[in-house]
Amino acid sequence: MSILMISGCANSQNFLSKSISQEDVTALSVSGTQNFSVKRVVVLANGVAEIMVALNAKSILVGRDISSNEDSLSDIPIVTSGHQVISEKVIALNPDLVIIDASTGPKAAIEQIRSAKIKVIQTPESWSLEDISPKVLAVGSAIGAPGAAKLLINKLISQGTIKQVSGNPKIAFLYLRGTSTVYLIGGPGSGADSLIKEIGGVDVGAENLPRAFNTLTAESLASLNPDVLLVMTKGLESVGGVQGLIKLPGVAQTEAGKRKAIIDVDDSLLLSFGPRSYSLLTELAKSVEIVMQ
Amino acid sequence: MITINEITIVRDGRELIYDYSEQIPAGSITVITGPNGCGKSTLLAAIAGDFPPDKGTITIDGIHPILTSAHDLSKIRAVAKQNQLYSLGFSVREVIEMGGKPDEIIRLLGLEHLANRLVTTLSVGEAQRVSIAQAIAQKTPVLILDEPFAAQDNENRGRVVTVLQQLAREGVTVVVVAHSSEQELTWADKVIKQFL
Amino acid sequence: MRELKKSLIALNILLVFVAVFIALSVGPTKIDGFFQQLMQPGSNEILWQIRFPRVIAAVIVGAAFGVAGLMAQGASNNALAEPSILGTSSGAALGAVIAILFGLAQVGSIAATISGVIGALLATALTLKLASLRGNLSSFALIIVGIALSATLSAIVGLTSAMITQADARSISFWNFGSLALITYENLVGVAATTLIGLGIAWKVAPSLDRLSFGDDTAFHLGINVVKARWLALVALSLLAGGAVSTVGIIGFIGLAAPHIARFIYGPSHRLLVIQSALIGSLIIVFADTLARSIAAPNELSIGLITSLLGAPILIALVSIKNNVWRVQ
Repeated sequence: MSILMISGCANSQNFLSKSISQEDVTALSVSGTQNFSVKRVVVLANGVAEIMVALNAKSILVGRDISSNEDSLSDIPIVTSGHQVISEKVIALNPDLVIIDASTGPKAAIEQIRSAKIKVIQTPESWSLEDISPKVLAVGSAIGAPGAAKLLINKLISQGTIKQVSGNPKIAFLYLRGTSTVYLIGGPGSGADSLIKEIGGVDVGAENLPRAFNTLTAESLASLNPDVLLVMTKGLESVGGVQGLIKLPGVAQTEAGKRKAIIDVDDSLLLSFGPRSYSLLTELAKSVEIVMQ
Repeated sequence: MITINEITIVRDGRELIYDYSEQIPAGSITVITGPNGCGKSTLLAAIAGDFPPDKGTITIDGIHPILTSAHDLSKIRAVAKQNQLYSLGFSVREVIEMGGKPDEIIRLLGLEHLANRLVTTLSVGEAQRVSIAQAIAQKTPVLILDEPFAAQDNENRGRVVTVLQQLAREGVTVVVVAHSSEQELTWADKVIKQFL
Repeated sequence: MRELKKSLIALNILLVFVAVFIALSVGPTKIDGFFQQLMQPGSNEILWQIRFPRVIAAVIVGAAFGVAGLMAQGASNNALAEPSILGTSSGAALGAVIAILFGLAQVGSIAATISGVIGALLATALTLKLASLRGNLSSFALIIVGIALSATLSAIVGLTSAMITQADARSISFWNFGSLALITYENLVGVAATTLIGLGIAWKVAPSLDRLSFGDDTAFHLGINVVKARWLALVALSLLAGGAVSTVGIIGFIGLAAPHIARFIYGPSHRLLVIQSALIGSLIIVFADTLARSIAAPNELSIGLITSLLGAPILIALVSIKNNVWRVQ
């Protein structure tokens, strides 16, 4: 019986895809109670909520945007519809600080919040590891805890060297939506390009395409021929999982498609560039090694 | 022979034709005449099998048009309606050919010069003759023509009458609706002054 | 005349082959040794797995939309009719979307094709029914009712597709503007079958449509069972448009343009037009899709936009040269 099972495994080319969820990574944080300069904060900027949690400031967080969907934040109300800020919901929470970034919109909603005499601070966006420190510092300063922010930054930069993958695999970041008939592929500045570079991979999208996100024909994807596809978990579900993805024309003809070398990462985790990103890079490098076997 | 037996046709709640009976003999030309709105064209359409009368029956040689398939009916009677309009650019010859063999009737009605013209470019009178030619080309034992002379000059009118007389001699039952202003009906074998 | 018609058909078939050849050779990826690869089916993956099914799909849906438009115009005796005006296309999209919503089908599957055809048939029949509530079918009522019903059904498609969480459901923009981007060989089976059957029925009913152009009464006098002929044309229309829409979404305008272009060049005979509308539809879609995937390579453009850009000038040019092909009464 056991012999049969072993031979069965050996014969079927059992390639592995890999999934990275929120539970697979750990967030760096600083402990100890802090005194903050504000009491009620609404966060409308990607990745800021998790920085606040890392700064031990979850207690003053009263509202969040939809992209801040870590499990630990599930009890905090969402004040956006899709990615659109609903000013009424924000104002109803009676915050004394609203944190936004350059992508927060619509602008009219922000103006309404400002005209309700609520303090609005814009923090920088983060699209690479280098962007994390300035963002943490900006968030810490906004809530009156710059000391804690500096502590967290020190912890982040003392993480040491990042695990590197061997053989410079070609990796492509696909932004999937099952309802779309064109591929959106990450290019330079997608965020994924910096993750791929940090672990020693080659982002074929960033090397060959002009924009951060590019609509791509099926055969262009096939000719980029990535060894590994990096996708978001919900995006992968929307095309019917790994089985659905590797059947799509374009994907089916790539090395990644043929070997099922697909890595999906939790949507809120992949491009958040914050306290979890170092842990994510370690997991990502491990996953690339596994799917490349 | 066409037998009309006690028919009543109601239009817009009015009895346009009431309890009407008539026999139209084979091998002759019968003209139905009368003022506008008296129901001449309606009667023709009923004979052609377009719709059943509200009461009574119409038979062509013992056959009930309304019980006969469109295909079989097209072997029994042919119809040229009053204002045939053409939307697609078929040639005159093509249109006549949809009735039957075109060459003889084109010659008899003097349509040679029009044969390759598109029907969409014809005058009212020309279009009317093409539609008459198409009906005659079907070579049916009954031929039904609604106001065939409305837009014809004397020469063309004469040509049509000559052809109809020839057909009647060959045994065809020809039924023609003509406006009451048609004065000379000498070419008709029977005139029905309807519903006066 | 008959010889000329035959050679014109042969010429257009040749043109379609040339277009297919060009479409296969052009694309965002350069294929080394194109001719050798073309001689060995299956050799080059990009050529045989991605480009080939896509080009074949373009040929099939081009023919389907072209002849669907011809059937719509012939059955309604109306120069403005086409599948996306009579509600046929949005009915097909709704049929397919509903099947997907209930998990009965995926885009491009045979089940989706069947429900697309049923949706197309129901919607078209509804348009005709509503347009002839007050006695005779009027051209005006047909177009107004058709546009209104299309808008309603498209809205329902939009709402329904927003509800769908199933994988591979496709967005409203797919249903409204069409795409051949993700076509696989599997997707071709259903649409090839509906198109072949649809073309067969269209060929059969074509002589009746010639006579329907004289009006229902004259067609009846010439021996045509008007109701049956119109139903056959609607079934052909629904098979053609329903199969195509459920596979590649709604590619508008081609259903209007292809039969009119064919009529301008080859005259009104429906038998000839079945062949020529199919060939011209195929030609336009093959060229449009080739442009859609190559002019902005590696980006993909919308096929619907290119089809309109390609078809409209030809149609306008032909109308300005020769304006007596269809006389509106």
